[in-house]
Amino acid sequence: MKKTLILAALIFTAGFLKAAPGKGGYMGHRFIIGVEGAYAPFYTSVSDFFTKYNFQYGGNIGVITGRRTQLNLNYNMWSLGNNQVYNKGIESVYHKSDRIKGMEFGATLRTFKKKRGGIAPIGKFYDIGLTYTHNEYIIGKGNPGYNTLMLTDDFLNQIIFHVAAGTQMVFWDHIVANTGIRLAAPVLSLDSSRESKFLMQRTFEKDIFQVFFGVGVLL
Amino acid sequence: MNNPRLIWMLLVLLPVFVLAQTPAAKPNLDNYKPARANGPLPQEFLISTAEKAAKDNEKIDQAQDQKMRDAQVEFYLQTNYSVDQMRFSGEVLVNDTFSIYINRVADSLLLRQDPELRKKLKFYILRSPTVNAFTTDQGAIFVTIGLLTRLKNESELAFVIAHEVIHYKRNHVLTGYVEGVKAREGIGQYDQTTFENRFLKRHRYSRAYESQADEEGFELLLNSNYDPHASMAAFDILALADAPFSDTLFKKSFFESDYFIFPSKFYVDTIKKIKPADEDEDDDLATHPSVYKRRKVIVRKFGKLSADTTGSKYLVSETMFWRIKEMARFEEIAEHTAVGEFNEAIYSNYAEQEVYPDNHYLTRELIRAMYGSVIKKNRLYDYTDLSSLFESLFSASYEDNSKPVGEQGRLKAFVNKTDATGWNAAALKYAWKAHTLFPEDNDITRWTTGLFLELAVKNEIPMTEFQKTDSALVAIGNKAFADTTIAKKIKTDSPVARFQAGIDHLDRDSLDHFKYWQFAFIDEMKDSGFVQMYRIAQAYADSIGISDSLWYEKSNKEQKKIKDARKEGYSGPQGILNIVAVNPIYVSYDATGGAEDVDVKSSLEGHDILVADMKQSASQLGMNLQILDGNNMDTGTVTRFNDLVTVNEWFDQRQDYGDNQILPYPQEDMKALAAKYGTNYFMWSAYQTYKAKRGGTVLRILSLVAVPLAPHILYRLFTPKEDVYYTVIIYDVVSGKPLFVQRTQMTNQKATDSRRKLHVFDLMRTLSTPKKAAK
Repeated sequence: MKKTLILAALIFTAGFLKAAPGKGGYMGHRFIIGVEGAYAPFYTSVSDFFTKYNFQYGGNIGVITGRRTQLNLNYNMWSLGNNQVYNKGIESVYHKSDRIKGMEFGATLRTFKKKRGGIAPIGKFYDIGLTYTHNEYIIGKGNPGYNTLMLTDDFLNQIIFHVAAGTQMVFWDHIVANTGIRLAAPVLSLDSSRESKFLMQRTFEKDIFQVFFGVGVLL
Repeated sequence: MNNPRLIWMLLVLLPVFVLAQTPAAKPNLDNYKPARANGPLPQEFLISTAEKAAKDNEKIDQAQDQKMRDAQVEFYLQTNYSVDQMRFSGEVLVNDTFSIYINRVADSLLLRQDPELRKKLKFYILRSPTVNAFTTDQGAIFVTIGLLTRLKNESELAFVIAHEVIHYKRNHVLTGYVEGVKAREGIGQYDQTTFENRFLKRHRYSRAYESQADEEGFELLLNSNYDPHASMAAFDILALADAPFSDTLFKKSFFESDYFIFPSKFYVDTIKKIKPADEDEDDDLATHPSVYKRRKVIVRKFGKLSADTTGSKYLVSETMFWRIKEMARFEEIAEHTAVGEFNEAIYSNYAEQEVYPDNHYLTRELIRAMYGSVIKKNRLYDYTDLSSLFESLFSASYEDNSKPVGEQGRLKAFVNKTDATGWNAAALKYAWKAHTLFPEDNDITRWTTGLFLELAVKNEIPMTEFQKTDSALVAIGNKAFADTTIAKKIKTDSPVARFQAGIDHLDRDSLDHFKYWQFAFIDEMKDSGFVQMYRIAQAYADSIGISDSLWYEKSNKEQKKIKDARKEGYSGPQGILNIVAVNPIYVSYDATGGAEDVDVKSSLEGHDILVADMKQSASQLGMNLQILDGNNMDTGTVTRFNDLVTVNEWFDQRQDYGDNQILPYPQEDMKALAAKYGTNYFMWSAYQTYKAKRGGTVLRILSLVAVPLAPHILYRLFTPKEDVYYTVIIYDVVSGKPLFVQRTQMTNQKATDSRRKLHVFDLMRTLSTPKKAAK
């Protein structure tokens, strides 16, 4: 029974993904599976490369829903450097090995610009989307520990709204590539720990301005 | 002939006799039909441009330096591309009466003297009213219809051909191109000199080629049995190239009747004479020597000949020559109309009707030209944007109607001075008469309907404005006759003469507020058919609301509403599953080297890929797509070639007349084509790509400031700026209505294969999607 269900699901999926010229897309191909990398430079940070350039990577699946629209479901994750300086009495401690790890999933509506002749999936586009994010403070191995008590349970869950502008291309009829810039800001804090103010600020640095590059396969 | 007085006489007096030409016998052109290609298409129409260029490349001297070799490769590609574009433009005739004759003249000139050279040459007729002949490096020699109309005998044509043959024989086209490249690059004799000097030197070269072609062409003519004196006469054609082929006296009575008389003020009594352009002018900046200098060279050649040197004016056929010449005049009339030169078409037609009165072809063509002229006149101030307003104002004030040159100038001044309603009435009167004479001619019926609509809708004249009897006309005449000052001016006393005096000398109040055109249809109003037609036009005018028929009279809101409705109406799903794509155009422009040049190689490759994309998309979407372009001509017949000519002409006309549904073009031909291809839907499309250098300074500064965007900026710094434009227009060619219009501008975006493929696919999908799915 289980095998039959899997087989039926595969057949259904294959039929679903089959090029349907009448429905648009790129020569009838409307589904995209892709990966994306982004960096978010933040120069006011005093720390190292990974703190200045906040890297994020993930995957997405997209479907061309109309002549000029594409809907993406994204999953991204990151591991950011710590730039927090703690003042404890006369001692200032900066824990370089600590990380802020997180993930997000959400949906993005990509609209191709009519004025610039955009037709999904090729052309200049605008994105708008909402993402659920979860961030956690991870203590590094070299941390002496006396500050960690207050940080071990540090976390932050938010809803982020983002807009983006970029360009998307298709190569060799099946490879989709895109690049652009993305601006994002939290619109809702779901729940957080007592020290989440720092996390809020740190993730804001990552989200406020991103340059992204994506590549995918057109199915 | 060393006598200077004789030379002077030849130089000065010959042009005077140019217009005095008489045919041996008037050729019969009662059932004249427009010229079209015949027989099998010649081989050069069936070989691709790239193949022709590759063959030409074999001629390149490999010993030359790389720059020159590259220049020649580019030259062969460019010239083959241009000639092929011309071949399939619909303006070239093949195996028709004109081409057969011109080839026979070339045979007479060359077969005996240089049979090998003759084999290399192909002669074509170019359907253009301009007086011109030119050659290409591939041995294609083009002679225009305009030139044929001006010839006085066959030997003149032989001299023109001889001149062009020498250009080919001496490789002038290629050498000229290479000289141009050298001058531009400052190579060889153009080294270390100013741009101006290079320019002058280059043009001196060009003039030298022309003189060589004249001199050696003369020798060629002399060694055949043609009359060498024709060479001198041929220059008269050049000197009068801008004048019409006839200078027959224009009388306004041609457009008048007993009751419909134009005011005399529309008719200019004194005109300037046509002056040949053959003075000894400074030609330093010209590519051709002045006519005066060219004539002088030939006179010198004559000086070396014995006095009795002569030859035959006709070696092929005198009868055929005159037939060809008259046919060319018939063709030229249609060509003027096709390019919107209505006054020129009307005058030439008028002149030909003096020779061929009541000729069906001329009658049709005159209605066509007058209808075109009426459309233009009625829309002189009906502008939709600033550029069309300026165009209207410019064309309205451009011509000086007070001092016309020649009889054609007199007619032009007459048409320009006549008010729109009067001219519309004159055209309708002429068309209605023709309609009653040729009721089976559907095109005449259609154009007549168009003229009714113009009068009722655009001129806003209800039928009641026109008089049914001549009583008011007689009363006006009597009033004029009662005035002794005016009566003195009446030369012959008749109701018409009195009325003419009345409309010329009484003011409008004395005319009881009548206008001269209100008496235009006194005869026609007795015809129930005419009245019925006018009523229909009137009803249509009432239904659309004539009060705001002009664009500028509408409010901004109304204009926007109409624009939006048009946009909506001309885009979106169409439910078309059977379509003919005419001449899908693909052009790549490259301006990275400074000047904007056509990248011929990319354009040719792009065209083939574009057509393949269209076919693939149509097949995927279950559409029946037929391609009608120069690349898929049948080998055994010219049918498709002629179809292409018809659709191209129709499209050009369609574009010129905006929303006007009834075209001054033979619509019956298009109806036949729609039936033949099994669809009313014909599509014209153009995919254009532009490549240019980017303005790097801003980007360089930006790259220093905005480091995070460095990858994007670096990419832009090292790649050219590219723009893509895709324009598509689809007509229902039977109704003449545009169905679908799309102009996509993809600025600053790469012209990739996938982009082109996607846009073609999207177009085909939109077209094939049923209309109700639009929402």
